[in-house]
Amino acid sequence: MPFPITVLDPKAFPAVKARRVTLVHFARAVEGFADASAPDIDNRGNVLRAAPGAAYGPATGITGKVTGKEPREVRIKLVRDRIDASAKLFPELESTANVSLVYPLTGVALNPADTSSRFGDCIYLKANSDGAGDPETKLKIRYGTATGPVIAELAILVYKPVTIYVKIHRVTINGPASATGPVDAECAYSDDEIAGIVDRMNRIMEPAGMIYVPRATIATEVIDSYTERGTVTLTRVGDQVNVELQTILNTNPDPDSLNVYLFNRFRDITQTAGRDLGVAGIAMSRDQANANPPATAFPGCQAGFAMCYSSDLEYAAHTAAHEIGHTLRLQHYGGRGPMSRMKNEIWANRNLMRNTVNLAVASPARNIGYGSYNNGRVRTGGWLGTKTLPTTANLGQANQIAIARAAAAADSYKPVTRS
Amino acid sequence: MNDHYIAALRQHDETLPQRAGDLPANFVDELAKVWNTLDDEARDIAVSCIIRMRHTGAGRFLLQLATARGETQSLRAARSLITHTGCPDANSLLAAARNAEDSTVRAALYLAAGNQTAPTLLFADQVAGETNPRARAAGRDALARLGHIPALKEVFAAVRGASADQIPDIQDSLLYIRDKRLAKALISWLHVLDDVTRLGSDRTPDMARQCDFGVWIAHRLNAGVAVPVPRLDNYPPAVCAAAKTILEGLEDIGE
Repeated sequence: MPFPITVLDPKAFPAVKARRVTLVHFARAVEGFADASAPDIDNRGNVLRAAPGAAYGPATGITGKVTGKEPREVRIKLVRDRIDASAKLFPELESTANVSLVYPLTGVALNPADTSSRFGDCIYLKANSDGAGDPETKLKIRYGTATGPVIAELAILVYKPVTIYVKIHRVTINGPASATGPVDAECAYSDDEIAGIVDRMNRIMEPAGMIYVPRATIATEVIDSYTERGTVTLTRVGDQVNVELQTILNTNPDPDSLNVYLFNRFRDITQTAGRDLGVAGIAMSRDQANANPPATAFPGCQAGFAMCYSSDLEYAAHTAAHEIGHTLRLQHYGGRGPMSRMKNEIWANRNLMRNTVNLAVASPARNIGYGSYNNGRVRTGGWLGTKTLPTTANLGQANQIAIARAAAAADSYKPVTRS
Repeated sequence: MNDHYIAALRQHDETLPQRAGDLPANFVDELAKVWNTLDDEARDIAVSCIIRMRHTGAGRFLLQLATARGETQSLRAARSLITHTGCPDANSLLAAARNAEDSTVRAALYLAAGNQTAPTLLFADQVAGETNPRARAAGRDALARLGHIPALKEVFAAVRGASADQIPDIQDSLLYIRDKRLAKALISWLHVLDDVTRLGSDRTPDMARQCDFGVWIAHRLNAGVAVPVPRLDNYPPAVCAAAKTILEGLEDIGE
């Protein structure tokens, strides 16, 4: 039944408290681990990125077309907060120069019900261009008819694909076996597991237009005389100057790739037994390599990533994507430095650069929709920010995708060359 | 002979760049003929080879790639010109930058031009017309490297007013420009304790602060600042105080 709406000027009526009513909102169209066909959404505030015009709403990213490949279809979920399923809602793109609507087509209303090939109330899009210049446009939702009022807007960025070639090194570490729980010297990762990890990393990074491509061959490295067989031992010294770790990162790095070294485990001897095997991966950026040059009995810090074995490939991929984020100049999101500074709030917990891979049972913002690892612990998210917000002191770098892409362009993940 | 190498590229033989010294001089010409038939990874490996071929023919080919429309290797080719000994002259680089659609490519071409002998007035006009902020900053850095006083002053002001999140980029700029007079702008960092980047890994919470970067960058610019350990670290206040005294004595940027 129609009813009258009176809009009051809050300045003229100071006793009236403003309330924003959200009719619909955009959401990640999947539950569980990152899915490249259902990108996460930067919904911090109602500030849109600047171009191409004034609008208010969240933002998301898709990868531009890659030569010789059909662009991936991605879907965005529209959640009807205060609009009935029978209401007609019409998606429309402001410009189709770089993105096109796959379903529903322009002028056709969203179908709220799942069908055999489509999820209900999902808008399907694909890139129309290679994304040169990282252009953006707006997805608008019109109410009632194809020319009805706009009730929601989403910025869509098309990122030009940035390929990061990955050189995998499987490392055999010789040394005395641990008396309490020995592991093999030879790295346990199989070729299939490695491929599975890279595939999952790409699910996380594709909305940022970044693609990891493994080099054709996996290198086999053998290192002798370590403290413990199959193990990199972490001590009280910083990992940037840890000789065992840095010796591995300096082993036959491919100068034109991100070098990833896989072995069986880390042992952190600063931790008590039972907590000493908790480190999953450590990355060093080129900035860190340049800041820690070689010295007597120290090979120098080197850019790259070292990771121990995990049979949970999603755990390994999340760890890898987070750590490689550090090589791309990303810092922790939600608080830098000690864990006590980490904020337990929804954006930090969804963010790939949160300083933990899982969320505590007591976390007040735990239901973030990324599912759980094999051990039952709730995953942190894989989202990366794409908005440039006016102030970010409380959380961290705002436009993480822009920072990471610029760092990749500047080869921040590649090893430094030393004579 | 070239057929053998081109076949290796097609097979994504990532060891080929290590053998770049063995490649015949006409490899680049032969490569140009088959370029459009190579996939992305073969092109990536090919560029790795050309980067290691330090002659002018290689530099010219990299410049062509840098400005080729839709070329996946354009940025990599452009960035490699910054240090390539066979890099074309500054006029060629600036002309190419005018035609480059991608702002990151333009930024790289400006930095490459800054390493050549360049006509700074024409260069300055081109940079002034640059619409992309990152490309404009790169152009400014290139001009500063060439000794252009207004650009040096602009960089000085940017360094002095930098916030923690800008420091990695500022460090790149300063180490590229390599003018130790700019180290004087780092004085304003020496009392700032804001966290910038991790010193180590997620295992340890230690962060390099803005004041630490002030000392470290001044040291790397050979501004006479000593560091107690030969690496970026959390330096004690006395080191920052000593650095301040030294930096205050540096020459100012002239008129």
